[in-house]
Amino acid sequence: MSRRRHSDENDGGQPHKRRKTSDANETEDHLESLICKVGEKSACSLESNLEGLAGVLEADLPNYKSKILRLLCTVARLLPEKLTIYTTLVGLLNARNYNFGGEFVEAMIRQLKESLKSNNFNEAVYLVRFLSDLVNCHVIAAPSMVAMFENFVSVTQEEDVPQVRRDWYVYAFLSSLPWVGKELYEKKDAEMDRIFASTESYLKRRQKTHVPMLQVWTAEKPHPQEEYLDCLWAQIQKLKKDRWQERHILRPYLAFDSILCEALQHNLPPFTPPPHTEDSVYPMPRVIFRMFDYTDDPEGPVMPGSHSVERFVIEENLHCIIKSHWKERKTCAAQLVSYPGKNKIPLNYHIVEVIFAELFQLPAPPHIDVMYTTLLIELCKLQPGSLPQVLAQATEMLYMRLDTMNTTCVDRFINWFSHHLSNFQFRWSWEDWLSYHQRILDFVPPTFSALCPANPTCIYKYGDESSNSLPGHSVALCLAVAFKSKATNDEIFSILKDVPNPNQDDDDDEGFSFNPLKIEVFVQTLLHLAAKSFSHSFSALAKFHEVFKTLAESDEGKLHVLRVMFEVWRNHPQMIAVLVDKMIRTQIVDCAAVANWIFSSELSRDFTRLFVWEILHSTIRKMNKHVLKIQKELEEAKEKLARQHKRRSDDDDRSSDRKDGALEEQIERLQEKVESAQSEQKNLFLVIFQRFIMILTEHLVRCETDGTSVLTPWYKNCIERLQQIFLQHHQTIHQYMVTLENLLFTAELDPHILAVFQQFCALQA
Amino acid sequence: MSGGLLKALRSDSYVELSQYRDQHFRGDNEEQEKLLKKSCTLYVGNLSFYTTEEQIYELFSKSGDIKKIIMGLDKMKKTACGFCFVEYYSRADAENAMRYINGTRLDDRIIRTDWDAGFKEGRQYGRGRSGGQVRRKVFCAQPLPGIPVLNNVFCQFVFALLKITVPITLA
Repeated sequence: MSRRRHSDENDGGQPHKRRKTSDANETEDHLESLICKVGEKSACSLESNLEGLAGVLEADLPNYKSKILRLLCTVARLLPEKLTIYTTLVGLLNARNYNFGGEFVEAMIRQLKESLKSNNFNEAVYLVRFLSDLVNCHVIAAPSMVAMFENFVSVTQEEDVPQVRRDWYVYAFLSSLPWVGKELYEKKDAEMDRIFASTESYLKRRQKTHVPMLQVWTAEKPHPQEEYLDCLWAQIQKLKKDRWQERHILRPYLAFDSILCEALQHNLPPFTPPPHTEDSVYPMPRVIFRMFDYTDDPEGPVMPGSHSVERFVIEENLHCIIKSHWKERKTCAAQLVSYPGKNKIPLNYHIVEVIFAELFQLPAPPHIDVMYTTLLIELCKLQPGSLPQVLAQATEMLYMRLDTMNTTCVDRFINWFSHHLSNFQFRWSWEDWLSYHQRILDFVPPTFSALCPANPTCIYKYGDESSNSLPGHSVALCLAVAFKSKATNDEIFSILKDVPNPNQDDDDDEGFSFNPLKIEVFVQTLLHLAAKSFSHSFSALAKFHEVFKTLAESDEGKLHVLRVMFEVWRNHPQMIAVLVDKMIRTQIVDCAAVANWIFSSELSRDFTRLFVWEILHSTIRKMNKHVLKIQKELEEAKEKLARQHKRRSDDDDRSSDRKDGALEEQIERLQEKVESAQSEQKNLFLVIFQRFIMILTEHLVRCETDGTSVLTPWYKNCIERLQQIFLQHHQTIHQYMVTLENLLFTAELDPHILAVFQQFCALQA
Repeated sequence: MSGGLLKALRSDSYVELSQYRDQHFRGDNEEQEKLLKKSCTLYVGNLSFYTTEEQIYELFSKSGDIKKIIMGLDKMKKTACGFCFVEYYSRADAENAMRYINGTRLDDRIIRTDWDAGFKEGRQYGRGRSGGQVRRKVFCAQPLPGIPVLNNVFCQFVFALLKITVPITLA
């Protein structure tokens, strides 16, 4: 994009003077497009595009200054992967128009303060980095940047604030140094050394209780899974030792040095970090995911080491690209593979590592899991000659290290791999795997056939000849006939009336107390007849909802319904999951019943299987969504009332008194609903945690008496499932911290179990 | 001053409405578009005739909880004819399906999803001339019946098999 082309478009005249207001929007859109597109593939060099764009913007400053300011602040915040391109642009503008440079810096500081106050800490990091790179572009004077960093690091001296707050300010400082460390050290080495000393002493004394909960692998080999600040510190230390020589970052401003060094610089105003408030929510700590090193790609360019600053910058930029384009999978893939400087690094390895880092991130991936599957498929399509091989290599590596991988991450790996394979006709080097399989089958005893997934068929206990002697058999047959002839709920009730209650000597006159046999014959027969498909089963649940509700009225009833359903469908985990979902949604069972059922002895054989946890987490999510929904209804009703009050004080309408009454009643009802929902939610978590504590304690005590090691595979699975509850629902659980601490996670608890709670507390401490 | 997203970052092309409008829709184009823009229901086309409800559930659950699936039927034969409707509880989940499931494979066929204004009785029947799904005039051979086990279960099986020597029960 050249200056000449622009003036061609406008016949050489002053464009803005001739344009009407309705064209102003067009110009603003055009400006936005020009700014966003700079740096993309172009016939001209980046330098010439930047110079041209600077000229255009300078010319438009008189009429579009505030729009241009806003645009540049926005790209600073939202396109961090193009940081140095935009700082160069600002540098060029500042060289031509000192006042504009000053206004831009002020605008950036305002934006930084706003981001910090509104808990947008990730964006705030990009703003700080942008400001620091402006030092390289002669827009900001180095000493004033150092002063800002001094204020940042002095936050580590604050008392009675969460560690995560102090962490953020240290992170914002350290993560800007790859860009500006050299310049700051050259100008102010004594001050920088002091800041480093402060930082180092803070890093040594800060707590790292949270680390085990966030590591993808528990093993330290082949690559240690480091806490993010520790890793960054090591990287910066190494950079400092290398005298701040950094060769990876693209620095367009170097080409303009002669222009830029003539520019006048601005001083950053003294920056006081906004104080900690009750509403402040800081980013959670992270553990850096590493799976590759230079030995994994011996043929290609050398992969930067784990403590090299290049590694940090590459990973940061790739994560930023995904963050910018997650909704557009093709664009995202294209942007990733066209990462600048890709010929000097094994880019495919970096891309695969960064994607898996996000997919396996604890507590949760930044984006929905399925996005990563589809993104990897797009990448395979875009680079069919190189990326699939790297992906295959990664998969095998991940597979080999499954035994030390966090259970939640194993789940995600399984789901990713199976979905991925289904898009490639399940093609894999199965020959290698299957030949091994045959070998195993040859020597393994038939008992291992239990590992083969069963045929997902329904198990009906009243189905064959041998079931004649089972209690309730005749009623089951009767029910089957009734169902097939489209009986009503009442007809079913009357058939069930005659079923004796094995729990009691004489039947209750009320007729419908908990009767496990009634539940058994009804649920078995109905589910068996409806087994053909999900839709059939859902119809059955809907049609005989009344019978279900009555039979499952008590807590024991609910539990028994789930038990019987499980007996029928134990070979078909997916059917179990959808039936549980339907039964919750139609209020045949409640969430607490599902939780109790999952921890019951009937499920102990399947306790480590994925479907059990999918059901539990889905149940918790439904509970959470329910609470949020009612809270929202209450808020909306309150707002409506407030609006009505305002209108009443504006008009003088007597009739609104009556309207108020109805609305106030509704609000009262909703208030009660919210309280009851929150109470149910709290109870659900209490039940879950209580049951975890019980089974873990049982295991720990047994190991102690037997003198065996606690760390069995079952234990690893169970303790990580407990961690998963905390991690996956941390925002909700946070409300109940005090109760949990006082009731369940007390000091008397076994330290193995208490550690999980302490790790969780450390995430926001 | 913080401002909203840039146009470049607001792009969400997979979620946009296609050109298709239901000719049998009761209402004008504006009404139909309004419904499409807030719909939680997707039309899914180019399914294999053998693809089961269970398989559709498994794949489409990856973007959120499914409220309902309605299988498309041949109007004459009343058998599966290669399309279905998937309804989610939330719009956001349906959008993620459009972004990440549309254009990928189910039962080894590339499936196509599109917004639907909402299921109404009768819409489960194919409107093709012979009673099946309306297809673009491209020859597509019917695939052989696909692998009967579910993807996720298959994978767990493979992992489990190969972990026989390591005493761990996976998934």
